[in-house]
Amino acid sequence: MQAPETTDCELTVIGTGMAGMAAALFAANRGLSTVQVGHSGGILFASGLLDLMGVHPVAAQKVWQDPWAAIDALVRDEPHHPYARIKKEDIRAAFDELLGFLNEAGLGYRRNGERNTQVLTSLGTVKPTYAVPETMWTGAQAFANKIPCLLVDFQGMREYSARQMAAIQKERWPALQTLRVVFPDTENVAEVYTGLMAQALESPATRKKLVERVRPHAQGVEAVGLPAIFGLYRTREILADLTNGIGVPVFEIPTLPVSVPGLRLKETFEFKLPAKGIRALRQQQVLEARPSSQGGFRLGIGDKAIEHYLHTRSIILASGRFLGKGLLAERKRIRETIFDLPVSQPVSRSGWHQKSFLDPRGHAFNRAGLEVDHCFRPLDAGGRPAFPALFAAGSILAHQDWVRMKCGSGVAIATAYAAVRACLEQK
Amino acid sequence: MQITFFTFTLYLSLAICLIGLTYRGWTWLKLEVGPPAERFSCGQRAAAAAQGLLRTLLSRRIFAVLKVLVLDVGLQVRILKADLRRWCMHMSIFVGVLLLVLMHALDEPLTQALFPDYASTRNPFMFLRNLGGAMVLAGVGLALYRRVRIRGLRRTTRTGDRLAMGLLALIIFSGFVLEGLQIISAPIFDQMVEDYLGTDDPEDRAALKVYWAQDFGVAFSGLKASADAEVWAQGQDLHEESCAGCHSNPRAAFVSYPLARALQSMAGVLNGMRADVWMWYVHFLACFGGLAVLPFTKFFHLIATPLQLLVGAVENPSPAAGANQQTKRVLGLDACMHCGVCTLHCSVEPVFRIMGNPSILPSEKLASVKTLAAGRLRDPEALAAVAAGSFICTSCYRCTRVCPAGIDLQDLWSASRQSLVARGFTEPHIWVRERTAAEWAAGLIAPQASPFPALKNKPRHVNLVDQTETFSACVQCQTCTNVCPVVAAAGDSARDLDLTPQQIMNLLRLGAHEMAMGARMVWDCVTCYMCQEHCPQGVKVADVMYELRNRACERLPAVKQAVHGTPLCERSSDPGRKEDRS
Amino acid sequence: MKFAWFAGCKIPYFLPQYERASRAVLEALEVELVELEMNCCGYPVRHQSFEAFILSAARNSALAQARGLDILTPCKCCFGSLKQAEYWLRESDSLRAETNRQLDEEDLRWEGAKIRIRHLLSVMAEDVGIAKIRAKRKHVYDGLKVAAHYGCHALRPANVVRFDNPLAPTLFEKLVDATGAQSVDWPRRLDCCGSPLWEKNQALALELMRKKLEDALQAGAQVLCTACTYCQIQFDTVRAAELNAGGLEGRLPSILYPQLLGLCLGLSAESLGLADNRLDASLIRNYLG
Repeated sequence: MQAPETTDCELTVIGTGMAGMAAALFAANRGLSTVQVGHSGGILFASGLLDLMGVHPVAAQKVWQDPWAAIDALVRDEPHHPYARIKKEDIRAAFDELLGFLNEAGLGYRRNGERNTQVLTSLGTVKPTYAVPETMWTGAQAFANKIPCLLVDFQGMREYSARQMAAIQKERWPALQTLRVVFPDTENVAEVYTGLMAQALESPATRKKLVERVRPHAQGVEAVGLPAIFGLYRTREILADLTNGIGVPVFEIPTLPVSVPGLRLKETFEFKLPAKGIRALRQQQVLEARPSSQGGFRLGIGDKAIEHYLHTRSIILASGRFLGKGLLAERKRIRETIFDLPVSQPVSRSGWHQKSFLDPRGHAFNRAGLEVDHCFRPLDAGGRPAFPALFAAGSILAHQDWVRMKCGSGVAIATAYAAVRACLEQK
Repeated sequence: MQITFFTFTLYLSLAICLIGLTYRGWTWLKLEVGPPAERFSCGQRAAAAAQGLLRTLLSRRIFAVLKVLVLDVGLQVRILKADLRRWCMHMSIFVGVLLLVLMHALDEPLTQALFPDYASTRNPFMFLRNLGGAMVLAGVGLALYRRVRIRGLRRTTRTGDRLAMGLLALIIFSGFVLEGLQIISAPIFDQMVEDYLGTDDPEDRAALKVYWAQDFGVAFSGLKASADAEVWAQGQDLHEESCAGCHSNPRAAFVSYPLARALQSMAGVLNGMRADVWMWYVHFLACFGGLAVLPFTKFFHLIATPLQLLVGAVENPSPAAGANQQTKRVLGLDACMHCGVCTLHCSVEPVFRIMGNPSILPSEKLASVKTLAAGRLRDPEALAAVAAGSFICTSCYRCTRVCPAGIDLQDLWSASRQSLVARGFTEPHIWVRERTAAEWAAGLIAPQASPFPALKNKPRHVNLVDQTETFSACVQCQTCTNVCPVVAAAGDSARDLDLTPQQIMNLLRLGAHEMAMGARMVWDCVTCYMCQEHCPQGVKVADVMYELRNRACERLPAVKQAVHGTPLCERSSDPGRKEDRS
Repeated sequence: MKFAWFAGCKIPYFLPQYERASRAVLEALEVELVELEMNCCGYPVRHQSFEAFILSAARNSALAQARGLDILTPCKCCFGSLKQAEYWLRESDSLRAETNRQLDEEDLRWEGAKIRIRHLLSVMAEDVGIAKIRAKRKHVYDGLKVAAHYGCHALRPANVVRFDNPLAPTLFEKLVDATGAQSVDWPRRLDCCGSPLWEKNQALALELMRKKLEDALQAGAQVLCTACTYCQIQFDTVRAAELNAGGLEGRLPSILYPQLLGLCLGLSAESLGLADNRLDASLIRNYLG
């Protein structure tokens, strides 16, 4: 084997989830020479909806329409939550920058001013969220105004039923009609998949056939909702084509992950970040991390064996929790996988979970993570920054239960923003 | 009496040879290689061949043919270009045999006509005969050495090769021994003296004996070792007078004479039993044997290979090309003398080392195709093996390029593969795709019936399917299915593919990988690795597909056994179920 | 710059123009090729026997290792196969030992990844470099829209092949743009061409190809560009024989990258074997300034 080469950079982002992608974007926008390392797919599980803050306190299941007020309440009650370390205008700036990037890349998002938007999900429930893909905006408006609307589903599509959605929403939204059609070219097909339907809609011929099947049933409604399948690449074109063809505004309804909006986010970041100068090292991971004698770190990177070394001035650790493998639940303790940083966690395993899996308070296990200082630097056992130029962002941070709080994207984006800025200030 | 027997066996072997040659010539017009669609009658092919011959003879193409005749047939430039040592080996046998046939075997009709003073015991004829013999022996020795030393050749050496080398060596060696025995033979000397010496004087005869004993190596029993110079000189005079006209000094027989010297010590016994006569029988019977078996052994390449080279020199664009193509294929089969060069250069030779099916190797496959064309390959097991070997070939064209006989092997492989497909032998992909899940399951229920238990106990160095780590990370998120171009193109995955990639991973988790092996998804997977690349959990989906196919190929005979009642019948008896390849 | 040339099995008979064009272009770019007689890369037999595939590939690497030469192959399936073998031989000690036992019969040995296995495109983009290619141009295309088709086995799995970013590769587009032509962005550019199912499930093989062609046309491409033996056979030979219906007649011919580049370097159409392509791609010459 050749002697592994060594390259230099100012910042290495470890992780490919929302926090990693956002950190890479913010770093690129600020001219930091940046490498991003990680296996593909972290962001695949994203629903496409970008939450800021939805539920607090978790135990009381209180849903907030104003996320900023929710953050105020949260920071008051839980001063260790990551939001407590970031100014609100920074959170807003982070969202603006990220949404600006996505919009430019063809993935438009809309916000309801300062307030959360209610979005109907494929389960028939309504979810509060902060930023909504433009393909779903009409749906959110329709729900807000309860206008006459046709919900369409497809024969052979699992975990998606227009009738179920309409039945659940009957009281609140009686003007819902439903329709089941066969997706073009899937006659007699037992099961259809969202990703494949999205690919098929990239072709105008398929769109035309779909329009023909839906249009006759769209008389008397003001909008038509379809599952989120409006393509991966030509989404705006597809939205416009369907709207024109059917004759009323159409919108997407988010489906269960892995979903097309998640795939879209993944494709957009994967394709556009390198264009901004990010060196994306995919299907590789950090196998060895040592502080370097010249300051910064020397990282050994590869799949299973070290294939090359990277000298980096600073690192943003956005390796996620358990699914992203940033944290590993061992028999007796939860461990951080790259630097073996101290992880804030219950004293013993018996404290990890509540008795009941569905306990509304959530589990302590889901609040485990890294303690950080005001610059988002993980702390060592003595409570001091473990390394001067190591930062952390996203779900690996302790004291937040993003799934239940509905703050996942917000925490990821905002902490990535703060970490990049801290990194930049150090320079 | 002797003459009668000699003549009888000569004509007998000649007759066998001629009948054999006629038969072989007839097979060129009769046998077929290729799918039934390319069939022509014997008459059509004969007409096409005649037409092609005429067109060539009467056109400028004749010059191309002449060029091949000189360069490839005469000087064997094709072999020289490929391998100098091989050319030396082949050239010494070729020139040696030519020399012996023209100057020795055909001495009466040919050499005597050209050289009126010809006598087999005169120089340069005696010397040249030894030279020819020595060249052939050296060539055979070199061939033997190569067959033993070169791994690829050692592995493919067959009885036919040993027989040819052995017979050739026997002919030459018996010739040398015969000549040696004749040199020392006192009875022959006595006979010759009786016939040709003009005097009956015992003293003269004794003097001639002395001279011949000393200078010509004849072994007389009871003759004193040394006689005085005067007697020798007298013998020399007599020799000059009566013998020298036909006898050169035997030292020119540079192989036979030393052999004769070596036999001197046993000369009494040998002369007493007339070993020379016995050896003469051995020699001519070996030669006639060679003549008789010529059409049926490797020796036949003496005729077929030059013909093949000449035919190959002409690209025949005439309307009869199809019929001639068939004839050329069969001629090509005969032109192969199993030299093994193709196999030495074969691109898939390493595959043979693992899979062990000789029909992977071109030199061996050709023999199988020959048997197949002759209609003698009926054993289903052997047929299936030939088919399996044929499908391994990558059509890289290298065997065709290196073949010293200029056989269009690429065309032979493609034609024979087509004819095997037409008989129902297909790639595993197609067979498995034609089966239903129920049939596959039925085959798996009776795995004990497998006629190849050895196949199942092979060590598996990389084993994904049995390792929990392979699929434990799978969260059934369907990403693999959603990015799969095959699922997208197939339309109805349940109907056309049986299972989706994510369902296959689920079957692995349930420990049901044997059921998954029969799913068409496994066989229609294009191995584009889209699933594996996009899997958020790093599951090696495509690598698993590959391994499932490997495992299915191993189980195939057992499943076929259950489905057809025979492990190797490839075509289901149900005529309604044709391959859906259109 | 010197490499052991690995043409692979299909080129000599089915696609000789690929070898011709590659050699001509590489010579113009001062890359020296050494002839070693190697065997099949193992790709075609992988579905039957993993071990046979590994031995085939390992023998080639061992031959190049014995000469201390990096391997250069123009075929993406050969490239992928040789890289795959390298990966698995590193993974499994017992596989390595068994393979070396087989190779030992002819005094060969697979000694780790001692040499580099390179695809033609990587050598051009990274070893030769885009700058040098630009400097060597005698003509450039003006206004020609090209759909670069990546080919699966060079690109994925990335942890094995390390060809480019598997999700957002740019290498081929950079090389196309270096000729002055304009690479189009088309969603299916990373999809399979369908060739692996040829003679196994012909209908599906054609459907995969048809989908790609339609997508490239929709993106405005005038010509498809490949750098893989199998892909080109599929998009040129097979397509010419089987799939010229449905509005595709005469549209979107496929050209090999060294042919596309060769014309820029001032090489003759003859030395690039352009006439051997089944589909007429001569339209590209109208854009050559």
